[in-house]
Amino acid sequence: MSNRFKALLSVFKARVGDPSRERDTAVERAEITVEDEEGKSKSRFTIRIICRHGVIKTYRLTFEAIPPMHALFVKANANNMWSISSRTLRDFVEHFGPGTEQLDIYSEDGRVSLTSYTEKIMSGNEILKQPLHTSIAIDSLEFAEFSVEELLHIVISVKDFKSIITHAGITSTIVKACYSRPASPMQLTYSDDGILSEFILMTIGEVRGGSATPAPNAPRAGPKRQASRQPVATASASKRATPAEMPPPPPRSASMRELSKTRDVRPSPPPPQPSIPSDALFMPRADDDNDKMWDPVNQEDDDDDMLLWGQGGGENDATVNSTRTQHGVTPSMNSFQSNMSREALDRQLAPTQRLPPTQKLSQARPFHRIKGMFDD
Amino acid sequence: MRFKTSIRNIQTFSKLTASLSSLGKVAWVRLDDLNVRFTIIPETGTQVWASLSIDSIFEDYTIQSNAENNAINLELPLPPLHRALKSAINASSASIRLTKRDGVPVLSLTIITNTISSGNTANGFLNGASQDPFGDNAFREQDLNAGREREAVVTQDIPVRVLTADSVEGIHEPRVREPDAHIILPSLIQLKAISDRFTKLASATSTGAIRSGGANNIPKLELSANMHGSLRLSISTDALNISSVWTGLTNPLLDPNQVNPDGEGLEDHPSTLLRERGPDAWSTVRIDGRDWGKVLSVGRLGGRVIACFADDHALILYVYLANYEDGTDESVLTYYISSFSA
Repeated sequence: MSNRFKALLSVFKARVGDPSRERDTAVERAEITVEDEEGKSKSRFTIRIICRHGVIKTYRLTFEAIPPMHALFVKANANNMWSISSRTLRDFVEHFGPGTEQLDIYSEDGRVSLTSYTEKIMSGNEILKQPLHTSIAIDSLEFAEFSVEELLHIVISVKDFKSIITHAGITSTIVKACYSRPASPMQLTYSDDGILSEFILMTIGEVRGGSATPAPNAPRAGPKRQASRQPVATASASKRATPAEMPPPPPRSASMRELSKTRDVRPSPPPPQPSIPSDALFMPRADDDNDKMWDPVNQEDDDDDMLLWGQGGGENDATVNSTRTQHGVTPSMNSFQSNMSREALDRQLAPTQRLPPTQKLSQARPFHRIKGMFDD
Repeated sequence: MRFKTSIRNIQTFSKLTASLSSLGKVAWVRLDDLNVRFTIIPETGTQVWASLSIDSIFEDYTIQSNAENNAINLELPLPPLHRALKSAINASSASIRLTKRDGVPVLSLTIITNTISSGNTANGFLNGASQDPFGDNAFREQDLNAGREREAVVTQDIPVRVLTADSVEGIHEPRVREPDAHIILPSLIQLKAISDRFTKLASATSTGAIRSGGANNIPKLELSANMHGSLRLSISTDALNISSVWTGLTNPLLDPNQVNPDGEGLEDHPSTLLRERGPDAWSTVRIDGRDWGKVLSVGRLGGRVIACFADDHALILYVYLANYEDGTDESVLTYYISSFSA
């Protein structure tokens, strides 16, 4: 899926670089047209970037019209909810190093614990390749709202969570999470300037006996609730975006099938997964300060855990974000796990090269493990 | 077996791990009552033997084992340690202890950070305003500051292997003959920039035949020192020959008691002989530019560096770290770099 997005992303990527370098060819506006008529041999998504001095760059991406896919999320059942400033959450999430797979979230006595871990079993020398096991214990007062059943462990993909929070942290907004039980989906939403981002994540975790009907704690009363500045927009938008009659994901989605299979098979606690060499762990991350100048030359920065958008880290680098702002296209940036069904991106863009549009995802990449949704 | 300590100097510890991990991913760490040692012995390339005074990075240090001096030997992966320490950069306190998680030994790093979240700050102000709309701003903000400071506790578990005393018994620091020249190096960032530049130039101008010939044919940096305050860095390929010379550097005096404990003088010491041969007499080693670049990453620690040249044989760098407190034991990192033959 990301292959397809890369084609779209690359159109805008050059636009977010050094502004001084682009002075002569500064972008004045961009026009997007979609050709998708009956009888035409190809559907096209055309982007015209109009620059100064009459320079016009035109990108034509082909795509294939397919029915939109949605993960099913029934908001009425999601009786656990928290919301928090995106910046605050990003600061916490940055503690998670590369290499782990799972993120366990639970609360107890006003403390919320986030633990990233892996189930890989290592032995002998391999023990040293075990990724960092990180846990963060924070006061539930860090949250704007926190209404979650005590001691309910919910486990999601740490990589996906990091991706989402990294994106959410670009702007100062409020991230809201809704979920019910382990093995039922979790919804993460945030909005900013008319862009609604919504994600449905699969969860795993221990379904404890004896509390089939979870009773969340009484919502934490407190003045902190007024913190959110755009909560109204978020709420109304997500309502619109989450119709209860959403179809379940079509079986054709190889990735989705894989996810649900893993989830179904997995007892609690989940069995160990086959060990995957994680070389990424063994490359140090360059520091943010000028300590970097001491690094040896040609040192590959293998920390591929960091993500697509905001590669430079600055707000201007928010490629996905800026494209959407410019054109008012408001899909979430994720694929089938979130709803991207509106406007032009109703149809997923077919890749322009490499993969024929009919190729199944399962042929395009090996599914030997749970892939993060941003994995290549 | 017990080990627990607070980290006194997170920055230094973090820079140390960054420097060491450029040369090897796994360190042998030896902790005991006297000091903290990190040893990197990569399959190829430079060895590092670092000995730090406990006070330089730790405080409230407790160690206990059945071995002599309560020594504990660990095999420790450096990149996760460095990553974990990164979490601690803005911490109000950080401590490390040796423990087990799921039966696997780990060094558990506990980091306590005081958080002030921006989202709730604004919120707090609003609340204050609603409760006391005519109150004194300055006082109110102070109160809120005190109230909204909260603790986040981050725990980073780094997997380790505990080594038995027997298994590390056979590991010894390399022995190198008395050096011909010793000199205090100039600013390492300058040296590194020039070295990296030379290495790049050489690999860019070397011919395809050389490039395909494997690592051994990559041009080597030639580093030379005399005993008259000069250091020369040069590289030559078929296409170019460049060198930089530093002058006015210091050749530190040797302590005769350390070189010859039995009381002999330094008259016959190789460095004395080289000095007598004048400023045109050099001691030279040939080193891999990329490996050298990794070695020089120790410059981030800001220590004083003495380079000892054993002509055509080896280069030894002693990196002396500034003491955290006067009067404590010295912390020194020793780098053993073999010279390639000409």
